[in-house]
Formats: sequence, structure tokens, C-alpha cells
Amino acid sequence: MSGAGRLASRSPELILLCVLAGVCALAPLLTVSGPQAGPGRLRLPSPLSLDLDSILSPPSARHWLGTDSLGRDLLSRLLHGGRNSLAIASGAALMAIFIGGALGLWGGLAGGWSDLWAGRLMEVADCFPTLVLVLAVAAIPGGRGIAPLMLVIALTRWTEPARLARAEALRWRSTPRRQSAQAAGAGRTRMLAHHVLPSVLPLLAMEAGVVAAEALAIEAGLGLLGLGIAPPRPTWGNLLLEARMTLDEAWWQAVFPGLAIFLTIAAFSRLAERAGLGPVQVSGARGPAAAPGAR
Amino acid sequence: MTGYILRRVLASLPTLVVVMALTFFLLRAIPGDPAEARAASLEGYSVDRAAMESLRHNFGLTRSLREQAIDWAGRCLRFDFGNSYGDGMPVAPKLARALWSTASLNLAAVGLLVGFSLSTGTWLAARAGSAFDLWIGRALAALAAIPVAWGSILLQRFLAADLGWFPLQGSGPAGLASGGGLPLPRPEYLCLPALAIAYRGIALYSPLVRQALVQSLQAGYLTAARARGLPTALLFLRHALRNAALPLISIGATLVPALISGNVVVENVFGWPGAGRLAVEALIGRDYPVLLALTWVSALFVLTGLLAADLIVGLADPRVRLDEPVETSI
Repeated sequence: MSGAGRLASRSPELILLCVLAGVCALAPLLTVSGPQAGPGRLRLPSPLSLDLDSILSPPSARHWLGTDSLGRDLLSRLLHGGRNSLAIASGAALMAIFIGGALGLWGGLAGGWSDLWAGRLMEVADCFPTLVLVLAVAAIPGGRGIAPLMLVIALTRWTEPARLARAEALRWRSTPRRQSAQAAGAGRTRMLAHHVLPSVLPLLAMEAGVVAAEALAIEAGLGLLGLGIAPPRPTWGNLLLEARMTLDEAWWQAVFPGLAIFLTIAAFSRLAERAGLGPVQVSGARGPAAAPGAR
Repeated sequence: MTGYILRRVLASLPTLVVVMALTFFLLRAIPGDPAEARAASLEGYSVDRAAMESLRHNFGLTRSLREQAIDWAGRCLRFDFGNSYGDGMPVAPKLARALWSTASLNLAAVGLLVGFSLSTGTWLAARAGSAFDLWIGRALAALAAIPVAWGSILLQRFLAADLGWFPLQGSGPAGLASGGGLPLPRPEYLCLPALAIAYRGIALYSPLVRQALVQSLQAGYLTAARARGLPTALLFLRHALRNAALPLISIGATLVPALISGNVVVENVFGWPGAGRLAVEALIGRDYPVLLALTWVSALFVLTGLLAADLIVGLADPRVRLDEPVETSI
């Protein structure tokens, strides 16, 4: 079996994610600037252009997934929205993993006062009201864009990766391997790079999938509350807000964006689950990885 | 144990101070002030400069930031939060009503979560390995991937708007009519939002119940009990569930803080008059007293929840030693 075929049979969710992300990323190439689809080609109308002749029209040959209350093409908005939502989710996941991993490892490896400080920081982050942070950032000029929302989500979601990294570092500190590394004269950097990181990174990779799924759900919630990135720009969450306002007459507006979020979250969670349950063998150090729910 | 609790509480004090200080100064740093928000809410009336100034003076915003911060710290300790900037009513009863609504909603959600998870998990464990088990497991995994924002819209649309089984939103006439007392929420209004909060938890927790049960069903004493001719129902209730309870309680305890904080979306979709909706309203109206009071109370809840989760794990699992700093200090 070819490499790609094997990958597809082993991890259909990865393929699904790649296809979704790819199509969404290429959305600008698939759209024309006006309200009409391109002549004879598969070119979509722009996500922002109004088509007042077909307001709230159901899925048809002209608008494959229908239109919203301003006559904007839903397929086009879904793809452009996916571009924004996926960027927010993946960016937030990477940032959260980076912040959390660094702080968790610092606390776990250094111990003592550093650990205490890292722990207090996590507690503060857990107690801090997310909504206040969202609004504070949104009130800054230019604060209702993609990058600020990424940062906000990362700032509220880094504590779980931090706990994972800290627990793994602590576990390593209590093994004889640490003593032998120390006896062999390994410095801090070497211990981090050769001993701790190889067993922490797979865990963090798994957690990245979890955080990305959470970030998509958070973005959807904020969008639904009207607190997401500034409207006419589409995101999957913002599409849900429009869907809620026209729920009685336009089922397509609620169904398609919701399905897109659902499928992506399912794929991210499934990937994370596989990464967690799969044979993680890093220099023979780890036994069977902990089940994701067992934390 | 008492020593441990005391140490944890003492260690949390700086956290509380930092959270409150950050919230206080962050709120002041946000552009737009309460007087302007109040003026903007009076549509059709123009509010002149002098009136705005006197509003600001009444709100105590003309004092220095340091004075205001100290004033606030004292108020938090006394649980006396002054009057709302939005409608001039005292914050404390407002907060109590919102928290009561949220608490009753969460209680209903926890009830649904525990009831459904235990029954579904037991049901699946009894058929472990069958095709039925496999497919229900997959369906639950899919259910867990439905984001609450979409799930609550769908629930509202299908069960309330189309089928008419439940009211669309709100908490019923009793909720509106109550002046001072705390009314019991009407069950028909409670169902949908509670379900919207609980369904993901059910989908995540049922497989864990199933797994714990399957593991404890393999134990030798269960084979012995079966050999003695114990009926299956008793086998499950008296032996398997009891021994599976330990890991379930420790995982369940970690869900508690999330339940307390995680329903802003649901409360807004279903118009439930709880803390989540109050928070969004207060944020939009720059209602500092309400916001700070909410932050204070929710920070207390989260810290208590974290502590309670660790304590429950420590009580339920004899292997966990709370007093060893390496093991559990957060």
C-alpha cells in the first residue's frame, strides 16, 4: 500500500482536517469579487458582497448552500469563515501549548519557589474571568481581529498543558534515570533536551488537539454572543449568530456552519485521543500513556 | 487534613488579591466609562456634560484610583457591593438572585449528568464488546464533539420551537414576579438549558463509567459472587458499581469547576436569568460594581472547587497523600 493510502486508512480524521483546512485556506482563490459566481467555472461569489435578489434563498444551483438575510453566499462565507476560525483555533492551540509547556516544565524541573510561582500563575489564570479579558482586548482599537482572539483563548487555556508538562517533569525527577543522568554529569540543558522533552512533547502534541477543539468551541460561543471577531468578517461562530437570528426560516444557516464546527472538533479530538492512546515510545521511557480522561 | 486545608487556603489568598487587582485595573483600562454607557442606554435623550459629571461623581469615579481600589477591597471583604450603575439597585440581592438561578440550573445539569452517565455506562458495560456497545460508544464520541453553542441552538429549535415540548426561553412567570425571595425554578423551563449544559458531560462521562465497570467486573470476587448465584442487578449495584466508584468520583470532581463557570452561552441562548447573563449585561453597560462582585464570587467558587476536587480525590483514593507537597500542590 502506498504511504498516502496507509495514512488515509489509519487516520481518516487527519485527512479530513487537511482537506478542510486546505479548502478553507484556498478560499480566496476560489472566490470572485462580485456577488455572482464566476462564468461557467466553480468560482464563488465574495463572502461580503450582497445579492439582494436572493435573500434567504435555500440551497440551489446558484448558491449551493443557500444565502443569508443579506443575500450573501453561505458556501463562500463558510469557507472564508473556516479560514478565520481554523487560524484562530490552531494559533491559540500552539500559543497555549508553548506558554503552558514552558511554565509547566519550569515549575516542575526547577521546583521550590519556581514551582510555587508557576502554580500561583496557573491558579490566577483559572480564576480570571474570561469575559472581562475578552471585552478588555476587544475594546482596544483593532482588538476584534484574529490575532487578539487567538491570544485571549491561549491565555485562558494554557493551564491544562502546563499541568501536564509539570506532572511529567515531576515524574521524571523522581526516577532513577534522573540520578544517573546527574551522576553522568548532564547539565540542565542536556537533561531538558534529551530526557524530559522527548517524553513531554508527545503529551503536549495530544493536548494541542484538545486545545484546538476547545478553541473552536470557544470561538463558536463568543461568535454566538456577538463577542467574537468584528462582524461583516465571517467566522464559524459569527455564522452561528446569523443563524440564530433567522432560525425559523433558514435551516441551512444553522446546519452547515454547525456541521463544519462539529466535524472539525470531532477530528481534532479523535487525533488527540489517538496520539494519547497510540504506542508512544520515546527512548523506552514511557509505559502506556495515560488515557485522556484520566487526568 | 485540617493543616492541609489551612495551608491551601492561605496559599490561595495572594491569588485572590492578584485576580481582583487585575480585574479592577483592566476594567478601568477599557475605553468607555459607565456614565457614557448609561447615557447611551437612554436612547432619545441627550445627556449634558454636567449631568455626566454628576453621574461620575455619584459612582465615585472622580476619586483617585488608589482610593477606589482600597474602597473596593473593603467592600469585597464585607460582601457589600454597593449599587449597580445600570439601574441603581443594590448589587448584593441582584447577585444572589443570579447565583441562585445559576446554581439551580447547574444542580439540574449535574443531576442529568450523573443519572444519564451512570445508567448509560451500566447499560453499555452489561453489553461490553457487542456491536451495540461499539456503536453507542461512537455515537457518544460524536455527541461530545457538538459544541455547546450549536447544540443549544439545535435543542431550542427542535425541542422548543418545532415540537413545542418545552418553552422557548426564560425561567417562567414566577421568576419575573419574585420581588425579594428566591423562587424555585419551574421544571419545564429548567429542562432544556440543563440538558444543553449536561449533554457533553454525559457523552464524556458515560464511557468512563462503562470502562470502570468493565474493569471491576473482571475482578475475582465478582466471579465468586456470580458463582454464588447473585442476581445480575445486585451484582452490578452491590459490587461492581461500588468498586468502580473510586476512579469515577475522582474524575467527576475535576468536572465541578467547569460546571460552575461554563454556561454563559447556554444562559444567553435560553434567556436564563443567571450569573452568565448578568456578566454579559454588566460588561456591555460597564457596570463595575456588578462585574467586580461577580469576579469576586466566581474566583471564590473556582478556588473552593479546585480545593474540593483535590480533597474528594484524597478522601476517595487512599493512595493519594494530600500532605506530600510533590504529589498534589497545584
